[in-house]
Amino acid sequence: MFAHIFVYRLKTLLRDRSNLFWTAIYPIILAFFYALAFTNINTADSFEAFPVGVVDNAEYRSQAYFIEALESVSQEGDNKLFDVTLMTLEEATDSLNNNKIVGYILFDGGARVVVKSSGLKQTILKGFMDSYLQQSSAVMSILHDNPAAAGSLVLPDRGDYIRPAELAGGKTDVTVIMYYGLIAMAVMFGGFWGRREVEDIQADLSAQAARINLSPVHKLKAFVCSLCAALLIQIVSLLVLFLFLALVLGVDFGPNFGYVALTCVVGGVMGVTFGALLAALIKGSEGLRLAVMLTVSLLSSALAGMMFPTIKYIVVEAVPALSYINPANLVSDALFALYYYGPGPRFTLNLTLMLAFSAVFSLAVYIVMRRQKYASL
Amino acid sequence: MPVFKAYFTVIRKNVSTLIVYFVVFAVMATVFIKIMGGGGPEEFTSVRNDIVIRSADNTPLVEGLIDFLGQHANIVSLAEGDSLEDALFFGRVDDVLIIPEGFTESLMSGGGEVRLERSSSSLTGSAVNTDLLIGRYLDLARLYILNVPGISQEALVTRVARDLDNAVKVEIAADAAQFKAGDVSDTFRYMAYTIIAILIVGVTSIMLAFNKPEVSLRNRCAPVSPAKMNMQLFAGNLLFTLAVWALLGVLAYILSGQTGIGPNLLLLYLNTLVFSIAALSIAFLAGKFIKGFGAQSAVANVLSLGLSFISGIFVPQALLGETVLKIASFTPTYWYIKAVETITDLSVFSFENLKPVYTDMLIQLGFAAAFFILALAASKQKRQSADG
Repeated sequence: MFAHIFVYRLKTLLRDRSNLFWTAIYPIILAFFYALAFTNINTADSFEAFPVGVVDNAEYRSQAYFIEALESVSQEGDNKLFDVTLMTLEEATDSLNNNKIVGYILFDGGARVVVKSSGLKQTILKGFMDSYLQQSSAVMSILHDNPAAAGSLVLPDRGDYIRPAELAGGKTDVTVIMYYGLIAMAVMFGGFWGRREVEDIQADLSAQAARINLSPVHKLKAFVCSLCAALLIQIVSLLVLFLFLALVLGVDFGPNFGYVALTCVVGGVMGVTFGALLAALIKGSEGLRLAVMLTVSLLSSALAGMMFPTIKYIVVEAVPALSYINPANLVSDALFALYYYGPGPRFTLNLTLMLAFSAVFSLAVYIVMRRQKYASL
Repeated sequence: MPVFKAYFTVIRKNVSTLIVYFVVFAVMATVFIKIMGGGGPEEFTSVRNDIVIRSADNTPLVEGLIDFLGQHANIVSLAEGDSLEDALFFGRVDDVLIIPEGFTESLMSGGGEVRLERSSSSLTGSAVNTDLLIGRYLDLARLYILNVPGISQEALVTRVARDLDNAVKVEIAADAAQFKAGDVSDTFRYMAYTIIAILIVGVTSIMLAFNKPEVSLRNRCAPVSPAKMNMQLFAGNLLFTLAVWALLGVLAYILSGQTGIGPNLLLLYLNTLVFSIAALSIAFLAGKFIKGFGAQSAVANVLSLGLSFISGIFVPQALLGETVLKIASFTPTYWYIKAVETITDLSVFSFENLKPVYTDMLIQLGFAAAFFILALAASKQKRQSADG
């Protein structure tokens, strides 16, 4: 009997093209778009020298030390900050207005920097000029104390004081959070299958369900068998999504593929039972159930970092409790924990909570659905 | 004008879906303007990194360095239980600086083999700013160490601090202060996504309603010529497009707190209008191929998100790969975004500067024409095969 219901249910569900699209295909398409858009994002943030103008006038030409200092940061090499062009004041104003340069340096009774707006590049330009003025002040003060040092003054090269270090093995690719958020969204979209299962067995939600309630099969048995078919489809689509991300798009999941697959399986159960619960609780029209489900799924995956990774952290910081009740965040945090720390207490906590949620959802669905009597069908 | 009236009856039936897009747009615009938009350009402000410092070397020199960093960056201390790794990974902290023991000693002796360790977030990309700040302080310190033999740490810190009082004057160019570009450019970028999504949902709903076999057959025997019917549908489409454009435009204007309409904003609106027409042509073409309501939301979603991702609506064009941009240049969205980026940076409105903007707009109109012709050709073929 189980096999009979299961097989026919599977065939029915596989013909539900709309649900299949949203749960199995849509996340893959979205992942593909992500991959197109994010290919360069991690390489693009390395610093690049930017164009700066220097107004070429008599006062500038008299600043021998400055010219030397400017040269040291405009020659090719690791220290390069600026692409320097000498120009007249008019050319400089014009170039600035047309965004050909970030700003220009003008000596006009002392040094000045002219820019168009505030920003990182402008800050670096100001920092360089500050540094030059401060070095000059230091040299003056040394010579003031000891005029004899003028001949033997040692001007140090720009020092190398910093060793770039990387916390936790250099895992800095924050875009993985968006892919994990995408898996979380696919988990939540599994709710569409749970919704379909409940709608097809609650006699007040569809005509087909009314017919099934008349059949000589225990309702719980019929429901569990069909739900298993839905679970199978959802878990397989999640695993396909994971393999697509890991093998085709090359998203980094850490070395523990087995645990990631386990997260997908548990996530499958959680998503489907979540949808079943929503459908069992909301009595109104199909459109209303769909709207609530979409809103909850998208909002929870957005908070889990699907669109902006930083949001996930902001939520943890501002409302720590929310990050533990948001089912989507449990999924993305479990995957993040695996990627960043490996299978440890944080992963276990997330997975346990996912299991607990699945149990609570299932129990609630059971309580809502059992022994319902219909006065008139 | 019965057809024209019917057009807006159908739109009204779908109004809840359309409102969702407007609400999402309003939320996104507010986020862009309030959180991501910087202050106005009236006064220069330096960028301040958020730095966490862990020092194992408690000397006057290190204190002086931390003091200096505190003036030019935000020194962040994480709350108990917050993970430093998480904060750095998610970009809430820009840099983590570790000062190892013996750093001061190695610097004072002139050797400098003990170095600071800095980990930086890949999200913000402003590590160079922190490096330069640290370099500035330590370069000055070394100048004294090398030239004033036997200088004490305390004397060193005082003298360096005095030198650090020197700062260059920074001016904001007078022409720049008119237009708060950074605040609205993101909103106008995102607007393209909303326009495509709304127009596809709206226009395809109409076409689905009118192309239902029984409706279409009934209409063909109505005492209204097909040409007239198409003209009214066309007028409906145009009015709908204009209404969406105007509504979004007003929303963007209010949310960004603009106080006047300068030439930049005018150009941005013109560009959006041109793009709306191109988006209408896309929606019209998509409508020719959509058979049912299930397919409608799928196509609307995939088409609007796909175009947005590849042409720089969600991720700036500067960060996209070359191949992606090549593909994107075959869509009007790419040219729309390109024009938005050019317009926001404009401050001199000479013909030479405006030429690329007008070119981008003309290309969008070219796309619109091409898509309309394709759609008309497709429908003619469909009708002929149906009649035959």
